Amino acid sequence: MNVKKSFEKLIKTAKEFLKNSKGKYGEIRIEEYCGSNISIIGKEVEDVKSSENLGGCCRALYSNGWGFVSFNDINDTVKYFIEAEEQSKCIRSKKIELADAPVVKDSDIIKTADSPDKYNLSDKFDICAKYSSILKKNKKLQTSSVRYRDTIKKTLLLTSNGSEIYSETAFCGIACSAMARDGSNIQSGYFTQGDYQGFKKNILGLEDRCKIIGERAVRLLSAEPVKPGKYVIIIDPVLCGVFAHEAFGHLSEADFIYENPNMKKIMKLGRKFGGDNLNIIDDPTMPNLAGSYKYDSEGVKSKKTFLIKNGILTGRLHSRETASKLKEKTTGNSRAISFGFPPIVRMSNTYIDNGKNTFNEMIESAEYGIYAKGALGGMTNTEMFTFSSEEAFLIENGKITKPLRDVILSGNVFETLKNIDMIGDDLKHHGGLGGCGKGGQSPLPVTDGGPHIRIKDVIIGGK
Amino acid sequence: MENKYCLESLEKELRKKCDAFEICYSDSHNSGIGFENNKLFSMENNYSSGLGIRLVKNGKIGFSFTTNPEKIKETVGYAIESSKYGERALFELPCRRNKKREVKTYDENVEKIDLKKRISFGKQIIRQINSEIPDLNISLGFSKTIDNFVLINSNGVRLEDKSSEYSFGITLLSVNEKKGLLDISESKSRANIITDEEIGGMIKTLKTRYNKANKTAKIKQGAYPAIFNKYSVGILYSCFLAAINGKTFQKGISPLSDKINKKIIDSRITMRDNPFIDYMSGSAEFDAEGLPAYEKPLIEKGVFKNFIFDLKTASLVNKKSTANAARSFASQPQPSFTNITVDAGETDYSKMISDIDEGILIEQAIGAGQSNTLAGDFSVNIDLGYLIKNGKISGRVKDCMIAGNVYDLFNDIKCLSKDLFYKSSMITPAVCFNKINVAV
Repeated sequence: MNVKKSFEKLIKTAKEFLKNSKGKYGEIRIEEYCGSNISIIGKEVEDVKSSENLGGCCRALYSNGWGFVSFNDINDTVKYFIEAEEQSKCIRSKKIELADAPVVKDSDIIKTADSPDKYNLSDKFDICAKYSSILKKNKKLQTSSVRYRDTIKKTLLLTSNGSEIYSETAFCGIACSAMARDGSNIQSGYFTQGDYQGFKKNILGLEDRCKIIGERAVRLLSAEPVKPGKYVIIIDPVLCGVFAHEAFGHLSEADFIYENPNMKKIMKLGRKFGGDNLNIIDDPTMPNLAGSYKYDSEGVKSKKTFLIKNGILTGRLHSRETASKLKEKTTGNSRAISFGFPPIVRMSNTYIDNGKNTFNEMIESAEYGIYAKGALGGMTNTEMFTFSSEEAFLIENGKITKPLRDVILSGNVFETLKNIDMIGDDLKHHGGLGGCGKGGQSPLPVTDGGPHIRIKDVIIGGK
Repeated sequence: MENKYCLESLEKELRKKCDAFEICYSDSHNSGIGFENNKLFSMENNYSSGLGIRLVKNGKIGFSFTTNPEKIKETVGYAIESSKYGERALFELPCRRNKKREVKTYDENVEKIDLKKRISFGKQIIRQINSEIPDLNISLGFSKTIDNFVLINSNGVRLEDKSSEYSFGITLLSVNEKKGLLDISESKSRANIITDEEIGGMIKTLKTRYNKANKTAKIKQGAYPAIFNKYSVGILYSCFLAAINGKTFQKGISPLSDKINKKIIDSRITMRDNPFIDYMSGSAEFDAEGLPAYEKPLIEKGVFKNFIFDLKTASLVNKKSTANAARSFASQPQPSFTNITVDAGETDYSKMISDIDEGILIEQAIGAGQSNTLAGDFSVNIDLGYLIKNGKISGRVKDCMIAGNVYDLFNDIKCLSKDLFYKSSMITPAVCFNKINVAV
C-alpha cells in the first residue's frame, strides 16, 4: 500500500478538504505506477526500459459543469483541487446531476501470485530475445517484432461522498509480428495477449505461436487478392470480438446518446436490433481479464450489463452523469486511462455470447463466401465500421478452398447486426497489448470476445 | 519544476557513471475549454513534466524516464541496467551547433490568452449555427499549450526551447433515423493566435460542407475520377511517408529502398520536409537530438530524393542523420517529419470539380492504415464523400468503400489544384485522380 503509506498526511488533508467542499461533487485520484517495456524490431533492440511515474488529478462539479486538473506534483493536490473547483464555477450553462452511488471503503487487488514484478528485467529480456530469434530463423521473413509491456499500478481514489478506494493492478502482455515481402506485396502475421493473469500465463510458452505467425505471413504472399463486393462471411472469435466492441459496443456508450434526442430515439431500450439468438454483454466482473475491475474511476461498483438480450436492446454503459440524465441505473463504466485524464464512459470485457451453431455448420452453409480470421485493426464512426482481417479463405459450396489476402470488411452497424444469422458455441475473450481508444485516451485495457459467427452481405473493398 | 529534477547534479553524476549521455526534460501546461452537445461542458488544466535519460555505457545504449523527481537516482540506475541489453551505439551525440535559420514556434499572446474569455465566443458560435441549422449536436473546444523543452548532452549541447500551441476545433453531429449519422469537423492548430475572423471562415466552410452532405446520392460499383482535398489527401500521403521514414528503410521493408533518384510517381508531385514555416506545428530550429534542422526534398518532380533519419537509425545503415529526430521525455528519439509541403498545380479547385461528369470527392474516411500501407495499398470506408454529377456536387455517398494503391494512383493524376490548403503540419493542393475503385 505504498501510495497510502507515503502520502498519509497528504491524504488526510485531501479528505478533510473534500468533505468541506461546498460543491456538488469532487474527486481526487492519485496514481503511482512503474513498469518495463521491451521492444525488439528486426535485428535491433529498440527499447528496454523501466520507469517510475507519479501523478494525480482532481475533478470537481461545483454546480453545472466539470473542472479538471491533472498534475505530477502531488504535494500541491489541495491547490489543484481548488483550481478545479474554480473552473467548475465558471460553467453555468448546464444542469448536471449524478446518479446515486453508495459510499465505498474498499480495496481492489487485481494481481496474481505470478505478478510481473516478481521477475527481473533480464528474465523478461531473455524471453523476448528468444521469441525474436525464433522469428528471425524464418529466412523468408523480411522483418519481425516482439514487444513486451508490464505495468504495476497503484491508485487511490477519494470522493467527496466519502468513498475511499485503493486499487492495485499488475498487467503484462506481449505482441509479436512477422512481416514477409515479395516486391510490393507485404504480408504480416500477428498475435498479442495480455491481462492480469500473470507472467507465466501471458508471456511463457509462445514459441509455437511465433513460428506459426512467421509461416502464415510467408504463406499469405501467395494468396490471391480478394475481389471487391458483397459476401457471406464467417468470422472467427477474434474478429467477432472486434465486431462486438467496434460495431456495437461504442454505440452503447451512453455519453454518445444522453444529450442527443435523435440518437435516443434510435437507441431506445426495447428496440429489436438482431435475431433472437443475439446476446451482447459487457462484464468487468470476470476475474483477471484485461478489462476487469471492481470499481470504476468514479468509485462505482462494476457489474455485468446485457446490452442486447435475445436481439433486443436492453441496456447501455453509464457514468453517474449519463445514468442520472437517462434515469437508468449506474453500470460502473466510467473509466480514466491515467491521472492525466477525466473518466469517460468506456467498455470493459465486451462480447457476443455463445449461440447453438457449430463452426462446421456455418462453413457448410455458405455457397460462396469468405472465412476471415484475426484482426489487424478496426475502426468505427458509430454508424459504419471497417476491420481488417489477418487471414482469410474463400468458401465455395460449403468448403474452404483457397487463401485470400488483403480482406477488409466494412458495413453499416445496424444492418450488419440484423444480418448475423448464425452464432457459434466457441466463445473466447481476447485481451492483449492493444486496447481501446476514445477521446484521446488510448490504449485502455479491454477484452473483446465472441464465438464464430456468420454474417450476410458484408462489403469487402478491393482494387 | 525543472529545478526539482536538479539537472546540474544529475549531469555531474552521469559524467561519472557513463561514456556519454543525453538528458531530455520537458514540462508543459495545457488548458482547454470544451463545449459538448451545444453547451459548455468542462474546463481542464493539465500540468505535466518529466525527464528522460539516454546514455551510453560500455558502448551500449540505455534509456529510462520518470515523472517523479524523487526517483531520479532509480532512473539513472534503470538507464544503466537498460544499457546491458541495448544496441551498440554506432553514433556520437552531437556537439553544440548553430541553427541554420530562425523560425517562430512561440507566441506570447497564446500564453497570455485567458480561455475563460473564449466562453462567450463559443456560445455565440453555437447559437448562430443552431439558428440556421436546427437539430444539431455541436461540440467545440479551444485549447492552448505552453511547452518548455530542455536538451542537454555530454558533448556540450544545451538547448532550451519554449513553444506554444493554440487550437480550435468544432464538430457538427446530425443523427437522422433515415439518413443516418453525419459528423463533420473543422480544426486548426498552430503556435500563434487563431483570429476570430479565421474562426468565422471555418464556420462558414463547415456550414457549406454540411449543407452539401445533407442531400444523399447513390453511386454504383465501378471506377470513377476522384478528388482528394485537404481533409483526405493525408490518408494517401501517409503511405508514402511510411515508406520514406528511415526506420522503414533500415528494417528493409520500404518499397523505396532502391528508388533514390528514380522516378516513382507523376512529375507534377514535389513533396518537401520543411521545418522553417513560422508558427506551423511541425516547425523547429533544432531536432530532438540537438542537430540544426533543415529543409529537404522528399520527392522532387516525381523523383524520390531522401529518406529521413535520426542519429541511431542513420548509423545502422551508414547514413547521416537528416535532423529529423522527434521524441518526448518518455521515449527515445525516432525519425519523424517536420512539416510536409506539396507544390501546387495549375487547375482552379472549382474547375477541378466542374470538369468531372461523374466522380467522387472524398473528405473523410475510416479505416486508414489497416491495409498493406507500406506497399501503398489503402482500402477505406467513405465516411464523408460526395457524388459529383455533371460538374456539380449532387449529394453525399455512403456505405461504400474505395481501394487502391497510392503508387498507381499518383502515376495516374488528372490534375492538381492551383490553390494550396493548410492542414495542421501540411500544406497541399487538392489532387484529382483519373480513376479509383468504389465497392458498394
